[in-house]
Amino acid sequence: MSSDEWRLGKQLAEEWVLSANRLNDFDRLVDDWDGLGATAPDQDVVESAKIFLSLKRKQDPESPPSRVLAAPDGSIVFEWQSGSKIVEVEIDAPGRANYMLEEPGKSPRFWTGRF
Amino acid sequence: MQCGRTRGNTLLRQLDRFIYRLVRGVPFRSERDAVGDAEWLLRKVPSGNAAYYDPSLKTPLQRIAFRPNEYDVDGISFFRETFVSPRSLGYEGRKPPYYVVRLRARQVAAIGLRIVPLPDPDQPPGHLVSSELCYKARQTAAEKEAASRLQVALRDIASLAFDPTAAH
Repeated sequence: MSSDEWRLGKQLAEEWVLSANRLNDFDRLVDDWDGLGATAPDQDVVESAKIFLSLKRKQDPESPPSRVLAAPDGSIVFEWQSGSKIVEVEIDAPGRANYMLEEPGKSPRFWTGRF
Repeated sequence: MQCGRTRGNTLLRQLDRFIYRLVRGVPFRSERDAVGDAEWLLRKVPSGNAAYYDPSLKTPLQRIAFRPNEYDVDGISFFRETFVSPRSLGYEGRKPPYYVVRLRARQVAAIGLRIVPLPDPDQPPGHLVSSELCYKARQTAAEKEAASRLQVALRDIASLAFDPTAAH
């Protein structure tokens, strides 16, 4: 392994850890965390999001999410951005992932999957 | 004493609101009047939270800014610029300051949202709701997709009206 490959691997590993840490932060959210009445994510949704993240890491270790977010309705959102293309995965119930693909000039596409 | 002070504050607030409308040339416009096509609608967006607004991104405003929470039973809230300034709105609420985004009523109607006046003494003046984007505990996949499409469309037509990080 070259030093560049080693550095890239280390950087990717750090990004996965950052995403996992974000999920741990959501454990501490309380209702109205945004000052507009947002619901804190349920513990089982957070745990499910952690499982989803670890599955994604195994499937595609070179693509950690660009952002991990809590939504005001209590769901958790993972986002991958590549240029103007955005893939959003929302975990709103244990084992359920709602996908959205946005590409420039196209209508967004939606689908739901189980994991 | 308490009652007198409250009444005084109410009168002052009403006077403030009247002066604001007077300056905008609509002194006797009612908050219950139907929304005109050319009116500007405002929406508060929490600051300091990248889920809603991330200045580091090419498109800072996120569609989550238009997602209802469980209190939005009548629909998500908007406010009419005819009755409240973006700056004032940005400092109203439990965790101010907020970003405030602006949308033209005509464009909001064109994407299929019906905006209805719902004046509320606990809210800033000019309160509106959109029943197409209300909270439902168990949304079907089709309802969720329809709501997500509306949120994306709103994000795309909104522009920043007040940036608390730039305000002094």
